[in-house]
Amino acid sequence: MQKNVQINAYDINLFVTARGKSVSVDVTISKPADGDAIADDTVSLIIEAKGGRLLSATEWPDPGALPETVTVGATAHAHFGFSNPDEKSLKRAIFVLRGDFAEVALDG
Amino acid sequence: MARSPTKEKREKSPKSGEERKEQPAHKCCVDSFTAPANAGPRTVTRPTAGSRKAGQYFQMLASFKNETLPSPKPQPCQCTCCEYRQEVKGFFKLNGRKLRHMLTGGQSLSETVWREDGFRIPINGVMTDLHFGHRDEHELPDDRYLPRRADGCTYSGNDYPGLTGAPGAQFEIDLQFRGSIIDTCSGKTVQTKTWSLKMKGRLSRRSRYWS
Repeated sequence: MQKNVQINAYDINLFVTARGKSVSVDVTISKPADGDAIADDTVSLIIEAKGGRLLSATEWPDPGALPETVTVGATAHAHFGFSNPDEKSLKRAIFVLRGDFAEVALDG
Repeated sequence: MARSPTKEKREKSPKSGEERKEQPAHKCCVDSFTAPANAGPRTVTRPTAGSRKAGQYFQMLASFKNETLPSPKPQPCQCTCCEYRQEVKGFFKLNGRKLRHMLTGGQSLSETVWREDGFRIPINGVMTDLHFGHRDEHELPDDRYLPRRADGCTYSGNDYPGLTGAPGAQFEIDLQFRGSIIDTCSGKTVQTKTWSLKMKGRLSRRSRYWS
């Protein structure tokens, strides 16, 4: 599923793929090419399953080294992996960017 | 607005049952169009100590004809009819993983389908899609009509597509661009140029590590 949210003018897309006991999330953070760089920043992601369980992270981006692709706009990339041993349905994601966060429902 | 064709025209037209569309009052006439223009070399640069950017700088330049109005010509050239458009397709890969480069409207770069190059920014609190060449969108330093956006006869765009990652990372860029001058008065494409950017190897400023 693809979820869209904005934090401080950055357009953020979460591409969430749940496969068996693992959850993979590709996060894209878009900005104009001449905007303030995000590539050297740090981001974090929390995933909550139904019943309030927080998923354990298995993969996360290197802090301060987000890859960035550019055409006219720039997209910073962050890839996260989580384990979901009970294969629970996902409830929500909380994405943190520069100390600000956005909450995204994953059950809708 | 459409008008009914005359009997004579109806007889000559292969589509005799259809109404003929009235010609727009003005048209776009391209004086010159170069894309890519002033292209730099494909390079890997060092934006910060912990990152390297592979890519290539280029410009998109066009000039259009403007004829004095009123004109005796049935369809005089007017710069306001001319606009630049840029589409892109292809992919970025870093350490074997394909990266989802975002364009506008929640769409990402496609390997096979041309999509208009653009990005989203909030303007007055509203997320707005911006693209190269749209006169009715905000002007940016990389996307200008001169002397004035609304009716300027010169278009000047800059682009520096590429990929930034950690030094030494394996990367691949395979992008195709399609730049067009369109006639907004008729809705037709006047001229099109296509070009590509392909680079592959390791993110290093030493060119022997990539090609």
